Amino acid sequence: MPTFLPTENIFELVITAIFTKNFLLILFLGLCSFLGLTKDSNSSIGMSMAVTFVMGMASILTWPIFHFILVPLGLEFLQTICFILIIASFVQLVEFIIRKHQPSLYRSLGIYLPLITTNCAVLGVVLLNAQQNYSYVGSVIYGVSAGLGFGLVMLIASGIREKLWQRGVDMFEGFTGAFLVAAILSLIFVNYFGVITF
Amino acid sequence: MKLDERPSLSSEFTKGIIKNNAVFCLVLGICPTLAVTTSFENGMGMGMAFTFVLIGSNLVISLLRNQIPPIIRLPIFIVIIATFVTIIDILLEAYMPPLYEALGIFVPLIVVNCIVIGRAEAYASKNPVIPSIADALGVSVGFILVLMLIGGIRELLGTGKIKFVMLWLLENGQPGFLELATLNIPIEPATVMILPPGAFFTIASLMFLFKFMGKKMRDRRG
Amino acid sequence: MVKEELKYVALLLGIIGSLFALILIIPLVTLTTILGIGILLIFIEAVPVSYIHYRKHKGEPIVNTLGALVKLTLIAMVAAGTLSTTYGTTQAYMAANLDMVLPRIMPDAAEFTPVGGEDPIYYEAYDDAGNLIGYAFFVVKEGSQGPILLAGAIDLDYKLIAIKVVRSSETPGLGAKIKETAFQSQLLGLSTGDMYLSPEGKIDAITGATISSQAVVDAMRNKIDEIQLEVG
Repeated sequence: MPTFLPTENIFELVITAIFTKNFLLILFLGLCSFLGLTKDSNSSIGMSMAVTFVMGMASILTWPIFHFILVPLGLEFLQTICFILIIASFVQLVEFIIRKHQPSLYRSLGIYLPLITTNCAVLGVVLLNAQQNYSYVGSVIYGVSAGLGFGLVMLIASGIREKLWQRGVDMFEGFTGAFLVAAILSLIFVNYFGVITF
Repeated sequence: MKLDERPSLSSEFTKGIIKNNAVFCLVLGICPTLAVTTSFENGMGMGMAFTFVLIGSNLVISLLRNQIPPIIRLPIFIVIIATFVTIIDILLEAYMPPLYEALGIFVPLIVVNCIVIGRAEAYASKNPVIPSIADALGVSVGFILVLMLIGGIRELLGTGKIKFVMLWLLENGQPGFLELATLNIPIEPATVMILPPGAFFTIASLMFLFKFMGKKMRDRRG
Repeated sequence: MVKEELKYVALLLGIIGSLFALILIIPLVTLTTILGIGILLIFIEAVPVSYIHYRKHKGEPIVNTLGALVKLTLIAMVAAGTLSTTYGTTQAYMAANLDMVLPRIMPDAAEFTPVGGEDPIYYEAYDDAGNLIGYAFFVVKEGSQGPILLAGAIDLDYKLIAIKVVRSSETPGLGAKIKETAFQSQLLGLSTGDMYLSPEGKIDAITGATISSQAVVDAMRNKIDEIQLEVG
């Protein structure tokens, strides 16, 4: 019987998702947006907010489908196809609604929405929720925290890359530079936050 | 379009390997490239799973290309790709459990791999079956080579030895990795290469090298 | 404006409702999945787009919604059919392949003779020369996330010489550590008298996964006791 209230340690869940198992730097999920959108901090803020929102909503939507339809019917093998369709239709719907009712929000956030359907971080978070068998509240918390961890790294990286660009350090231009920044940040995350154990 | 205007099959095949290499030139499909390349073996396994999905989806999409209404093409592509991904996921679980556990969620995540959707959209939905398969093969070979290269470098520097393997039928009749040769290097291994920072560092260096070589070749050509 | 939005929401609710109803009522699981996926797909793009075009061109739908529906359903049907066939085949293969586990955990044995009829209690293991060298067995026990299927082998003194987790759905990183040698090696060489978690016995449970550890240890101890009783 699936549980609604968290049986996991919530603090642990949040710290794991943001630091020790950061989506971008440790789990390698969502790197396409990391490479493409960290050139300036405005677009990285927009993308991070959109990703956090979609991750949270995707966790809310997919958990009941997985635990009340797929598991009882023994159709767990259809999880990938169901999850990607749910995410795609949800993103489409949100884009549709925002474009109509919040043109200003659409200009700042909406343009990142189509990119999210093919962002592996979102599908990754719902697949991990299903694999780890989190409770309902736990999976939503995990989804939102994973989005926050994603945003944190996007912000740090875009700050570094902007500064390097202003200084005219050409060795760090383009994708090579983005990967080097990621390597340094990842080293920091692995070493400093790797000591956190529960 | 006249037949002789079509690029030859061999050029369809080779363009995906070097000129339009998915990882180094187009910078697509980075997530699996970094996540599962902790060893030569895993890189090869991931590449094989990817090849299966890409060839399958290119084949089906190019067969159906005149039947798909353009407006609903994306959901149809997603369903077709997701079907192939689920098939390979189920097959790996049954026939190659160690690889299945090593690749984890990165097999289902082939669904959102930009390379697969990109090839479906840009090539298979506009071209006949045979060229589409040639294109898929070329892109896949390019991708496998990159995965094996990165996996090999990380394994070699991270553990001090590299195990060259080949996907084959083992003695017990099951598919598995046949060990061909093992290469040892007499240096102290650096575990960090197996960890996430090593992946970023490896691809940054390779990309730098790739760009540098490309620039040099362009300069020479004038 | 608001009315159109409401229509859209109603359409969405109707689709989800009918999807659930279909899945609950019709026993043909594959068929419902196909329909569900088909409906969901149409919702994704065909409906909004044709709806927008409908409004733009004043009553002239650009997309043939019915044709798109039929095509989508057909594709989804083929996809679901292929998937369920593949799944069924591999499940059968995995069940049949259980017999291959025993030679792997007990490489010295050349032949295994089942004891105890249709659902064997244990297998007698013979070496090349035909001497009895030990016993092998399968045992199922409820873990923290679901059943754990274990295989084990004991020598003639009823001491555990091999253990393997054949199938389990324990939490990765916690209960799944029962698959690791660090935990399993603690059990090797023990007879049932010592096979308890500490402090009663010698085995340290996996941190944060006492239920899974307990399940493995209990399953092994009870099964070996049962074999000992059976052999006499």
